[in-house]
Amino acid sequence: MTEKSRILKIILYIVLIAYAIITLYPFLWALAASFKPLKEIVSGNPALMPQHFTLDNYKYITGTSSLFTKWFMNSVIVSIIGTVVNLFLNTMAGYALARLNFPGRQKIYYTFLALMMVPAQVLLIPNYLILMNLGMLDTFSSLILPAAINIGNIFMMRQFFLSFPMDVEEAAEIDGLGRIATFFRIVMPLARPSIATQAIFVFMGFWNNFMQPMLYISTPKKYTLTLGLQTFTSQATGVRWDHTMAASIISIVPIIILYIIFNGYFLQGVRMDGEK
Amino acid sequence: MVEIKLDHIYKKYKGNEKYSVTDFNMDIPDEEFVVFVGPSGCGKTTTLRMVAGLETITKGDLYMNGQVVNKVQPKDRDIAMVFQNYALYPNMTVADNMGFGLKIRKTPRNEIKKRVTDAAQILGLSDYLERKPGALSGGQRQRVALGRAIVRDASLFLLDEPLSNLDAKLRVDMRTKIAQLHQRLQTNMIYVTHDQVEAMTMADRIVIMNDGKVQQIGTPDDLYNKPANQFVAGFIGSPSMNFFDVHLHDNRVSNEKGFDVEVPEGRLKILREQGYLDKDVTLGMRPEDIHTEQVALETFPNAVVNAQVVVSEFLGTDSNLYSKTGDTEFVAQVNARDFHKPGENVQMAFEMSKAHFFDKESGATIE
Repeated sequence: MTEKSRILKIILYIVLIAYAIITLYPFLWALAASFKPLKEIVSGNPALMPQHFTLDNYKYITGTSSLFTKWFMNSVIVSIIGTVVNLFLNTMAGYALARLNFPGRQKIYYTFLALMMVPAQVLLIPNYLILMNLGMLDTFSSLILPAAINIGNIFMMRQFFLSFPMDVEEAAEIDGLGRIATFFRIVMPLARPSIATQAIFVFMGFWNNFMQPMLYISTPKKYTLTLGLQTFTSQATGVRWDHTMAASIISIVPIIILYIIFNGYFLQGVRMDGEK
Repeated sequence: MVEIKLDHIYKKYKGNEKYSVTDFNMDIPDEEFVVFVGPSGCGKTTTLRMVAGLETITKGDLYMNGQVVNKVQPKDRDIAMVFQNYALYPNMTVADNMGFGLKIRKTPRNEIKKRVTDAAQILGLSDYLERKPGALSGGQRQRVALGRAIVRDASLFLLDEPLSNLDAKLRVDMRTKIAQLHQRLQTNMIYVTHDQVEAMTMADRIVIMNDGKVQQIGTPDDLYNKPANQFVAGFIGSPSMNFFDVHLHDNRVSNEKGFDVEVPEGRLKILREQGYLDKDVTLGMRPEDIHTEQVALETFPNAVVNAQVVVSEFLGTDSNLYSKTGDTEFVAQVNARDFHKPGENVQMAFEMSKAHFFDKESGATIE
């Protein structure tokens, strides 16, 4: 390595480390704040290490007087069911658009592409009215059903299946599998990296969703975590940063776990033809 | 065991004006090794896929043991297929890949294990049964694909350019292995390739195709020695047959580029009877029928040309001499002892009793 490239590398590392610190600092501050009393948080001391370390914030939000545990479970239920439903429907729709020959396939595909341009906010009121007419407001279904498919993910899966080697499917067909069995026993297992990517995005979408729960859910016991966190703000006491930070830290744990589980698939290079 | 009949089979893909396969007719008796050969895009793989049931048949009927199977699903045709790109399941081990078809058919586990072990032994894969395809070399993967077909014990084997991704040495090894397999299994095999050497060395019968049409069906010997037309003559043989556009007059054929040889009486009689006297024809000479030895020059004194070697290739047992006489270019395959360097002037004798004549317009063999 020449002297010049060594210096360039050092500069690059300094820039990257600085960027990492700038990005990580708010998270670390939130983590530290979750172990601080409110007084210390609002004092304006930017130090990360708590002067008065406390677990009271966590005790409070997980205690009986708080609905936090309930909201957490609500979010888990909505996110898991919503993700599973999405994975099935998006993957099957992507496969159908890539592989099956049926009249109007291209038209459907182009319609989907056009629908991707419609901003989600435009759909809030129509969805609200439909859910109201179906009597589904204030239920978990109102959060899951309108988001049961995702056109972006259908598009992603379609592109994946277009590049999927046809002869692997044909080999399965000759080995004795029908179309549906080939899909579930051969295609889906090989599509795991794409499905895992989709799972992370869809789960995060449900987990972090705030707008729909705010519009469709009215009973506090049915709140999801994002909506529940909002209640830590009250007009009388202002924002309870101590409780909010503890709740926020817990709320990102499932996302981190999910990322750790599926991270391998992002890194795993799978060649479908069995190449190295 | 199965007898196959392709009865006026046509294939046209949606959106295409032209048929990809036109009027394919053939009976394949039991235990025959048939090779479909032809250049890329000639329709050989499409035909194979129609036999497999992976492509629909536009017109015509496909019979297996006397039954029309046009609408029968691939899984119900009792076939095994080896794909060009192996088409192994990357997420399964070698053993699972080989046994998967049997598992689907609910074969008892012990039986699957036995068949997989036997096939692995035949193909030299016993040490790799627990590996995934990604951890195998190209040749090993190809053997797994063959093994997957063998364990099925199907009545028809379809092989779609199975050796095209292998290097030259492996190709020769695998060619022998497949020929041995056919002798051992005694089942029908239909093998698709664009490599005429594979076709000539393995086939009981060869189907040579071009532009969606069958050009000739015959044994390797038929195709080599009695080609039906100029395409077949040019496709089979390496180096390819030399073609000369010539004019037939008296008892000689010549062109304006300095080529002039005598046609023996037997050949001349046929040409005369077919009305080609004083007409243009295409003369075909296989490179090995052009000689430089003294004895040949003396034997065929009326078909000797003065040639100049342009490029010479030494191949060990033979030498290819790319030469020209006047402005007419051709290649001669001579004994390696008769090697000549580029630039040398050499007398060459055309063994005209082995010459082929083709109609200039249609390309059909004149016989």
